[in-house]
Amino acid sequence: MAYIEVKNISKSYTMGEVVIKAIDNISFDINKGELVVILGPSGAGKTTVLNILGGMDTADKGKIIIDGVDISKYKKKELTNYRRYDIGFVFQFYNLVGNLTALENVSLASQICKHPKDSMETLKSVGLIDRINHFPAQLSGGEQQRVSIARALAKNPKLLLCDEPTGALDSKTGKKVLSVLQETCHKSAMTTIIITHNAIISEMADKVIKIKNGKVEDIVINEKPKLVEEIDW
Amino acid sequence: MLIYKNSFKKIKKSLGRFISLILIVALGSAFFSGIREASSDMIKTMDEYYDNTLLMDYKIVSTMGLTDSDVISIKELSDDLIVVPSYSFDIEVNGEITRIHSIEDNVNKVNLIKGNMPTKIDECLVEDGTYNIGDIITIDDNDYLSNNKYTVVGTITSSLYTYKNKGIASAGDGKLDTYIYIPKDNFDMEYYTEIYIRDRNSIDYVAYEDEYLNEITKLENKLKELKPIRETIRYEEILKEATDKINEAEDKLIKEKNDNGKKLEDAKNILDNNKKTLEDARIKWQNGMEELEQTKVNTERELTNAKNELERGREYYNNLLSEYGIKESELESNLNSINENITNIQNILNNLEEGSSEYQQYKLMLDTLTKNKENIELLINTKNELDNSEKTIKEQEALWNTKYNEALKELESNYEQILDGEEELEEGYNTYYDNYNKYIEEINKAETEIEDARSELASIEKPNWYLLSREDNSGYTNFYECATKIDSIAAVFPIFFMIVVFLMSLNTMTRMIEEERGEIGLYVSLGINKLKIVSSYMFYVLIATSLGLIIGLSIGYNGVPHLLYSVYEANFIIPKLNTYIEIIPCISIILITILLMVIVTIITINKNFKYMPATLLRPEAPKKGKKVFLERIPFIWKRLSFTWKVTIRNLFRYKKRIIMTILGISGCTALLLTGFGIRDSVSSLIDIQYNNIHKYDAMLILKDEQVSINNDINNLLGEKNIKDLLYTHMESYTFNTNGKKVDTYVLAFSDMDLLDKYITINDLEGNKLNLSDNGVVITEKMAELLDVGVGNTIQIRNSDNELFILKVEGICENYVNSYIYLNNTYYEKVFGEFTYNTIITNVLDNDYEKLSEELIDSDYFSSVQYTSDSISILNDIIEGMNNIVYLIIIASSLLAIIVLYNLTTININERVREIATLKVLGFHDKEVSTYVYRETIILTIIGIILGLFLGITLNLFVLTIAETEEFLFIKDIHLISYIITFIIMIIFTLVVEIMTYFMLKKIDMIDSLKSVE
Repeated sequence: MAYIEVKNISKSYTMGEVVIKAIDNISFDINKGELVVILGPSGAGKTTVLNILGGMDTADKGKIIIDGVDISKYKKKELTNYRRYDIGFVFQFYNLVGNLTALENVSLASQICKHPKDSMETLKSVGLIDRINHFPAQLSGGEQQRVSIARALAKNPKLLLCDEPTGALDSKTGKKVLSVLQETCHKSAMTTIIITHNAIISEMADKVIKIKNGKVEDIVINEKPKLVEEIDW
Repeated sequence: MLIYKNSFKKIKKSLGRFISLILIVALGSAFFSGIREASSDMIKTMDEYYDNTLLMDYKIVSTMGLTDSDVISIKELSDDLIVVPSYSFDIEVNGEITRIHSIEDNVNKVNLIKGNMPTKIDECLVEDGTYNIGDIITIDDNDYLSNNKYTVVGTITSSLYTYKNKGIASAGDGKLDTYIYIPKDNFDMEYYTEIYIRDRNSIDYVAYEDEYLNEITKLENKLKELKPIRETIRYEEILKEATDKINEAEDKLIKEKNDNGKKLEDAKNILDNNKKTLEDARIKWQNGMEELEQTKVNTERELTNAKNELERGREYYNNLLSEYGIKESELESNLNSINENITNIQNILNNLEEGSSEYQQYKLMLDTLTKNKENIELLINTKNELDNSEKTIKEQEALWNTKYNEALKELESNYEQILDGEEELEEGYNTYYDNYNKYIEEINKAETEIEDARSELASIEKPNWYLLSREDNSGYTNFYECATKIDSIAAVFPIFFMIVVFLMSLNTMTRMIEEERGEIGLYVSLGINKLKIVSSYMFYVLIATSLGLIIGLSIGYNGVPHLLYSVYEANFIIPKLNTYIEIIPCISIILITILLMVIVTIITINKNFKYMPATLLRPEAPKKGKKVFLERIPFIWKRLSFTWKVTIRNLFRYKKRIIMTILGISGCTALLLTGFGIRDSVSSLIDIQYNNIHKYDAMLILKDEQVSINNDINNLLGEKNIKDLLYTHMESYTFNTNGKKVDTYVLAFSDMDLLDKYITINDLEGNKLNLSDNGVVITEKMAELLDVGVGNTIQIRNSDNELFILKVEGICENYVNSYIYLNNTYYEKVFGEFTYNTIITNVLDNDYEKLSEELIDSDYFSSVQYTSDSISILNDIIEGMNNIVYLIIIASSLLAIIVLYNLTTININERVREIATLKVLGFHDKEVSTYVYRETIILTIIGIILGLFLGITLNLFVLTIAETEEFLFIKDIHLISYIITFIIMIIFTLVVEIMTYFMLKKIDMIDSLKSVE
């Protein structure tokens, strides 16, 4: 049994009188420690998938089993706890608390977890040991994103979800961020899902789930995923 | 045009903000315009009432009444004057002290509520709420009216009587209860009791306002000039009248003396003559009597002598008879026989010769016989003599008796005549004396009357004209007092309020434009004219402002004045409030508000135009985090949780927002606290003044000044259970401050022990002050107004403008009116003779009205002033002040809620991403809200504490402005008010947090994470 099983989930939004099917009967599995890229054009429904996986939204239909637990029937409070203990998020716009230093931003997340990783260690692992006392505004975009990754990792989650983590970065910095993600995934067997519309990024993934029009178009398993450094932008 | 369409979309999108913007403007403009307008509406309403009822500008009353020539002379002052002589007097009617007025058409027109104006002479109008139409009122016991019975045909109100206390009356207990208007023809008085004057120009000016006062002062000056002239004329008139009367009386007296006196004298002379005659007659009678008696005695004696002689003759005769032995009856026969014998003898003899013995014998015989014959002849002669004599005596006696009786009879009749005469004389005398006494009595009476009239004439004082303006009408002035109290208290509030409103709208707009910087950037990058962009926001703002102004002004112009006026309707008899919209203030409020909002919009948008469109399109760079000083104390810092750290850093980072929040909250707190503070101040004022300082129940004003304590008065009051009488000299004086005349009362005492019982004279630290022989103690407000301290001197003037200089030896606590306290010794040093004219005391009896009436009836007292009456007047003013305080409290509370809501929503909106992040990170709702609210709560508490301090200042400021010469406000705010303000603010904060909690819960994690706002 796969670590994460997504079975036949559907989600539709009602916008006025129009019902938009964001995702329609999507299913896929992800194994523990896998680096998965969910790839699709804008509006394909990939973010909805991520939201549902991350416990920020619920599916209308279908099951999501994570580490043997079905979260699809979770209530609001259970979802909050799920996010709190099991999920690490990396956002496109980093979403760091501006008034906390890098270290504090990481600690802010870790302090509410049951088994957090050491904040300093995580920052060190993303290569920011000498920036720990800087405020977000004093960091570059890439650095901020790395703090954001460190914050997600420090929670020691079961699943790391990244929503267009390089969307707001130039390619060079983006690469750096992605390599951090790849490294942590491989090093600490952290199940990582990256959402992107950038097909190139999928080269670094163990598994690529292509979504189009709310449906899974294809699932490709890269036998030999490239290291980020090897990917040509 | 799309850009404006977008504005409508914005309204829809941020309805909360839009509504709060409207509410802020509405609240601000309602409060500003309402309070501004309230007192002006009240004054205008009253002015209209005064104008419609042709309320007099001046009233002249005189101690000696007024005449037609007074009226003419006033008319001559100016063509603009309407001069109406009128009648009124006070009398008890059905137990109510009632003023009977004559109905006038040209002045003080009554305001008919029900019924009709009188058409017949015996119809009357009564105060609304007293009698019913159809009632018949009897006005007895007066010399002023030709008719005593009146039928009520209408009920009225009068602009002369707008206050529930109608003033002083000259009858009963001295308090006027009601009034009745009757047709003028009913008055049967020698002179007018008052003259009303209206200035045709004054109607153009609003009552109470400076223009009106100026106009009226011109009139007053003219009247003041006229006053002494007319007083003198009237004085002379009265003097002449009185002198004429006296002269007439004197003439009459003299005539009386001449006429009746003469008559009486004549009568007396006649009587005296008669008396003399009678007396003479009596003497004559007496003499007659005596003479008669004498004659009687003489005559009787003569008769007795004659009788005795006769008796003796008889005796002798009888003896002779017996000697001769002859019986009287035999005498004649003897004689005859003898004669015969003789003849015989003779014959014998003749025949006998002489010498014969015979002859000799016969001759002897003859001799014997002749002798016998002689004897008998003697006897017969004697007898005849005796008989003759007896006959004579008897005749004489009879004659005498007749004569005597006649004389006696005559005398007796004379006597009777005398007696009758005497009786008649006595009656005559009695009548005379009666008449005489009557005459003397009348003369005396007339003389006393003249004497009295003379002394009265001497004591006729110059008549005094009293010039009474509207200001002397308690309704007129009290209303103004109440209306301006609102004004003075309200004066600073709206400004303060507007500042808070301005800050809040600035805050809201800043936030809005920051949120929409992307949109602005887009417009700019699309090449849309800056002006158009600005105008699109302006459009939004102006819609909100306009709606806010419409709501605010309609509440402000209609609701607020009515609310405030309603309090006064309980204490004043006044027409319904008319609300006026004064164009200039109204437009200026609108313009100022719009201008402020426009400035706010331009300021905030312009800031964004400085950036390049690209920068605008990008999210605003997070503000730089900064280390705060607390971090340098690792001991504390390390112990703080991250959320606390964020909170503390935030507090130091978003300075603008923090300042806004603190200012907003402290502003509201200060307003609230000031509201409570004013309430505290005014409510404790009465309590302290009349429970702690002036502790007496009543001031009994003596009719005549007393040099010493009067036992009759003591006994009279003792009977009424009024004891411990503090005899006082009380007099009203004025002092000048800032060019204004302020009244003060001089109270001088001789009994210091009783003084302690009734008046507390403590210095400002609460230590008792003693009245010394060298100076006075003055009240705090007076010292403040005159800017004097202990050791300085003050100048006061009496009603005759005489100046007195007093040395200040102490300043005492006092809150209402100004007083100068001193002892009798110092009084005499400064003012002259010390007399008592007032008794300060406590009254156990609760029936004040009855007591007043009894005391005034006793003729010792002219009036009685009860402390409770002063309290009730003050209460009316304070009630009005309280109402505005409640309005301030409510408005401040509303403002506080809006401010808090606004600040909290802004805080939340600004940090939506942060909050969403926390939510995504798995923070529970409670943790999130704590994280957000902690800041608000800290700021609120700081704001409240700051606000409490600000409130103390504001309260002090407002009260200082609101303070008039007659009040000293207690500027301490009660502890409970601080606590209540604090609690209210905390409750508001919590309420707002509960409201916004749902907002927090609703924040959508997904949306907020993705997009940049």
